[in-house]
Amino acid sequence: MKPQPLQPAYILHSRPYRDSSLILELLTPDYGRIACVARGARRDKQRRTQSLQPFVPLLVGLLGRGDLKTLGSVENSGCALWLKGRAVYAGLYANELLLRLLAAGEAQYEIFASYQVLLQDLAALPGDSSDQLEAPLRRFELHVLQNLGSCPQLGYCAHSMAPVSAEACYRLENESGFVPVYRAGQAGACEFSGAELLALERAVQDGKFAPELLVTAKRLTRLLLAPLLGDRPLASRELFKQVYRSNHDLES
Amino acid sequence: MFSPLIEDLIRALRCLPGVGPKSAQRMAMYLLEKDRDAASALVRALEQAVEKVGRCSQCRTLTEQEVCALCNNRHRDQKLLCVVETPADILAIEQAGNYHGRYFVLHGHLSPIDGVGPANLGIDLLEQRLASEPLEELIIATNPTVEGEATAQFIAERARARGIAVSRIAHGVPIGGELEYIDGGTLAHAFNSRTAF
Ligand SMILES: [Zn+2]
Repeated sequence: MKPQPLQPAYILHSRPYRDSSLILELLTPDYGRIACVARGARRDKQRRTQSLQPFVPLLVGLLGRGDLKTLGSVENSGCALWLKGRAVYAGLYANELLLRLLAAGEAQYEIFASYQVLLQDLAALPGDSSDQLEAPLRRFELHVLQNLGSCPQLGYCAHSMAPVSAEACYRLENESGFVPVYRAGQAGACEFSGAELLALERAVQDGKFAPELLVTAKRLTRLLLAPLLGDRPLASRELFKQVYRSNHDLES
Repeated sequence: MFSPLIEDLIRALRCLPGVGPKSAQRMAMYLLEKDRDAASALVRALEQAVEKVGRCSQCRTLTEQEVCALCNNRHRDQKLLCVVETPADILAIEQAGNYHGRYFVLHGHLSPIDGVGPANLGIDLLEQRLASEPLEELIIATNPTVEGEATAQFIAERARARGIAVSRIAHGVPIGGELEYIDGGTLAHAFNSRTAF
């Protein structure tokens, strides 16, 4: 078999395997999420495990034909990103989200690129507050959902097949997309104003979310993620909630 | 190839880390052929340890006592507490010899995907200690991995909320090491946490 070129990769998760090995779940452009065995990685502690960490840009060789590959050579590519303070929770959340949403073995060029953008954004944060994490995470979630075909085109009305109008109100319908709502009064959880949808569309492009738009973005991504995640909540989101809750307990 | 009892023994020995079929076979043969007394002593020691060794009620390290010798030692500095992932880490720090405070063992690190949360690490017990002891500094010595860092962050926020100073052991270039051979992540970290000279 001719040697495959090295693949860019990030480690999403690793777990012990047999005596001295690890099973790594990787994110790569060509294969999307893919699992491989790193043989002897736990025996050779000094040399290998230090680079086999999440958030470190790697170049890896993947050997074998089956679903479970064997990790060949590994090189660090570029600068390791160190997520400080609370940013590390956001990184773990993104990793768990990808593990849950991506099917194994499907190419994910766009998602790989937006994961890199997310890590750069998170690495630039001081990590002393959770609010800073919201914009990079919402943008990443929306990118991922769009690339998986699980987010209807923002700013586009599914009935008129035209851009939404800022003054109108729209309801998210899972099959079709955003459809106009003609009744006045209190907006439901699935309803968004045209202005919000247009602002979201811009924010996904440029990454700039006004504070009130972040609330809207969170509401939308929760709605879109719910059917994909089913009744098993994301464990890292639960951890995050615990961080908040206990700190509030202490302060009050 | 072997009789059922010997096969059982070989299989049981393979539960040990780093012991494959060949070495398990060699161990079994040695115990049965050459040193039956040692084998009996091993049985007794294992039985006693498994039955009696639990966790220290203060620091969670492994011990058969209610409170371990280290926690009971009144000469240890009561104002310092060091959080580690495993009992083996205590041993390593004690051998280094320059820390004289007390410890708290997590028995792992936060790993949400694997279902390991604060409750599994005894964080509630740690918080009781933070609240009730005259601590001046909490030293976090979890491993410099992503999960170790997430764990450190979680504990640090808890301690700071109670007004306790928190420090994290430094990570960087090993003594006697050569910069050229050190991975980029470690080197970047060493630069970020450089100290005045
Ligand atoms: Zn103790």
